[in-house]
Amino acid sequence: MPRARAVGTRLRSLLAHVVLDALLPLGVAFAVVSFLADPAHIDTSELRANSLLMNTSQLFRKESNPFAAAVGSSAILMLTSIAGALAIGVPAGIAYGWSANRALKALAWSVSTLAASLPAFFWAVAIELLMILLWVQWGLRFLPTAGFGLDEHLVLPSLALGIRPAAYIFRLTATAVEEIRHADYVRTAIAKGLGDRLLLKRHVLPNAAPNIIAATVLAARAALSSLVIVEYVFIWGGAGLTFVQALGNRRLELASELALSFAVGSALLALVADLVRARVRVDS
Amino acid sequence: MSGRHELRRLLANPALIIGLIGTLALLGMGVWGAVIAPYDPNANLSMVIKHLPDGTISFKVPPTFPDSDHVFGTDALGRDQWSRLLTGAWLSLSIVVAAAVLRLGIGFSLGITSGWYGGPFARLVRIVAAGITAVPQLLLAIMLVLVTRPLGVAGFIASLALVGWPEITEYLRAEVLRAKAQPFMEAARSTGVPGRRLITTHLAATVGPQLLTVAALETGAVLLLLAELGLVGLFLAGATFLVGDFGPVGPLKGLVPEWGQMLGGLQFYAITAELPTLIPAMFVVLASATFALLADGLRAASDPFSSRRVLPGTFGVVSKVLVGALCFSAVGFISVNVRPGAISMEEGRSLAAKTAETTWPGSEFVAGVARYSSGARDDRPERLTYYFRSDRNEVLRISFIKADRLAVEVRRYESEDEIDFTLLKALPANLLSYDGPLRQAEQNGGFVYRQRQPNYLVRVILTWPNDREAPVYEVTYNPLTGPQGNPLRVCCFDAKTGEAVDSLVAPRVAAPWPIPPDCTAARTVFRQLDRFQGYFVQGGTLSVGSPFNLNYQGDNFIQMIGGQGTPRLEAAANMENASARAELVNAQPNASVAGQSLSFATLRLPVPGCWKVRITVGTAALDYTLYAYPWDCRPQHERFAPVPGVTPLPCTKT
Repeated sequence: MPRARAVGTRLRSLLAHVVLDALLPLGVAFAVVSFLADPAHIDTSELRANSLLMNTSQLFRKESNPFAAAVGSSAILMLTSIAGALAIGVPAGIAYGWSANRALKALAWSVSTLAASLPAFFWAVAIELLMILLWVQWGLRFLPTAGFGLDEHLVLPSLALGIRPAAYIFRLTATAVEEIRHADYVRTAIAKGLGDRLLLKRHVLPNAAPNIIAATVLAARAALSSLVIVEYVFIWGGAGLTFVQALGNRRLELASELALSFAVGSALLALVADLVRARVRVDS
Repeated sequence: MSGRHELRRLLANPALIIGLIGTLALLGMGVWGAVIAPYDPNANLSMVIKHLPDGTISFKVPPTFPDSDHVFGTDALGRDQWSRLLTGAWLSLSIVVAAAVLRLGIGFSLGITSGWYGGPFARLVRIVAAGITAVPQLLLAIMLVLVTRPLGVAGFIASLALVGWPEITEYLRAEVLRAKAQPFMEAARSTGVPGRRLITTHLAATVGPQLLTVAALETGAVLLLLAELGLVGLFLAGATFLVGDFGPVGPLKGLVPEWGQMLGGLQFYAITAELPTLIPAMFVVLASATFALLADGLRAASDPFSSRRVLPGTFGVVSKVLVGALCFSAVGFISVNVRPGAISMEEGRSLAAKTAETTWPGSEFVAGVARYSSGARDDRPERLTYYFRSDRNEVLRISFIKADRLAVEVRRYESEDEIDFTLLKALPANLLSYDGPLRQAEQNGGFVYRQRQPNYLVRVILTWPNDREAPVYEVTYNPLTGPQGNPLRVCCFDAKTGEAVDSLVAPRVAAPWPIPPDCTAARTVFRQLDRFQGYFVQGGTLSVGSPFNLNYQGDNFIQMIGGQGTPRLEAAANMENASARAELVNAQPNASVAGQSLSFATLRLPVPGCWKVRITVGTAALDYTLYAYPWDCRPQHERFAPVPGVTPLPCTKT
């Protein structure tokens, strides 16, 4: 039964993949974090003395389960920013690939280069200080720069976190669409008189999709590592800020749990990235 | 291809040119930053004062916006940001470059070995690398910094290097695998080139040029991580903020400026002073972008498939320029910033005498002043000043900043130490240096003064007044700003023998009434310093007393010089009130002050009157008698919050 054997081989390789690429690294991360967060090794008094944000969570909200609240807030922030990045990056990338306006394309490309090359740290600080400048200089005060809330509080942190992923998704979508647009089958379809909308729906998007998904996963992984500093700047009570506060307040167990939750998220994304990459390879 | 062609190729690569110039500028800033800094990076002001052209004066509370005096504004403690950026460059860049090099070392060696040999070792490296990458860099770095803190600078560098290497390893592994499959590799292997030579010649030629690119990229990344750590509140040097209810109150630790430290208060001050706090952040991001640009340019120049590629020889020249600049700046960092020891009074005198002879021939040396203040970052005098008097009674001031023989400042007709130069005789050569008198003054109340007065200015003044037989040192303690607290003057020490020449400390306040005759000092007290209470044992192992103060009901600060251990109160009895119990609180063993060990404690006397006290420290014991005045006799500035267990009594004799 060759078919069953093929399925078994696939399953085994998938299992090996999960163990090698996700479980063992997680074990390493667990070992490293628990070694570092051991009270015998770590002295967090300096963080407490220097950091100005040791007790903000009490100011903004009180939670019975700080771990779940922190991870949940981080997940919300991540989802919003990646959704926003997709909502901006994909249409803009398709428009870029489809457009023939060279000046506009050059402008869009330079803007995306700038957005992708400056770190999230920069965007967070720049956005926060811009808001404060608007308030101090002209009395404009429309978006809060600090605090947690599923309302306008969400806007600035997701913006700071989402700028780079948006630029990244835009660039990869644009290159994919541009490449596909010049492919033989697309030219044939155009020559046969297929309309723009159908062309996009039937030929371009399905072929660009694997690249877009891969770009999204990679962008999400990058965003996950900038999450800490964005949360810190905007005092967003997610896993990153709670981690710093937990360390400073000597709640080492909570801190290591949060660090490991980052590791789990990152390993999951890495696994998805690998699977997507394998699919892209098969399709091309 | 001609040289001109190559030059055109280089100039067509703006990323490389900008990155190269920026990197050289940053390194130059590291070498000469401390020299060209317009202000002392640690001079802090509670108020930034500016004289406007129309004659008015503007007062601003720091952090202040950039203006013509402070191009990048001042930070929360009123320190000039541009000076701090300049002075801090060498430390920050040293840390960053060292960490990047260490990271590269780990990443390259693991990447090349795992890519070349493969097998279980490569699998292990991959797993460990994936495990380290899974935790965000900043998170891991925070924990590493906190764990490696006891190792100091080395620990900080290691923390920055131990994260981020997996990316290099992965990249290198992929590159090696790619290179291994190239036809020239196969050809070399098939002709029997041994494995080691394959690595050192063939693989090195493929991967080698990328070393520089990755190094530039990593330097930028490490700098950014340094900035993020600084924002979170972890930095190598500089102030530790004492955080009060309404924000940072003041710096506690040493004050070496460093870029990460400059970002430390950003979160707090972003609300009151957005632009001044933004500037260091912008600066650090731009510096990091410079390294990223350099990496981009180097990659384009070394990539054989790029339109901006240059010949290997040209690339070699660029790499040599970079590596040479790095070596030069490493030497520069050390020679400019790691300063030689402070000069003594006599060394400075002979140096200053030469300068004085060329400036105003015939002038004579009349006064020397070593100045210390609370803003200083180390034990060196802030300035060592020599005053020369011409025959027309005009004054020449020659100062050595930070007691550094190279940092001379010469000013005519200028004095900053309120000395009447007309009443002084010319000073002879070969006098003692300023540290001995300072140490003695510290023991005679100076230390206590500095404990109570966080912003102080200490001056060790060497003069020969007309009415004295020999030159003398005196030490004055002043508040640095504002009228809070009284000055303290410890006078005088013989400048040839170092001995105290007369009553050291003038009393600061008058006693409300004389001490009763039956309350006199016990025998072990060597000498009563002034006509009030206050004891000082010279030559013994132990001394007790607050010699510049009277004793009062409540808390009395006592210090024991040379005390080996925590002071203990063995016995205490009040002559008039047998039931009264004294206690010793906050006893501290072995603080080191000016090189001498010192124990101190607070003696709590619940009732006024004549007390007989026995205190022991280690094996030494001291019996002494003191008279305590009622609480309300304390001068206004010494009335703290009421002491527990003490009922303040009015200042009347019972």
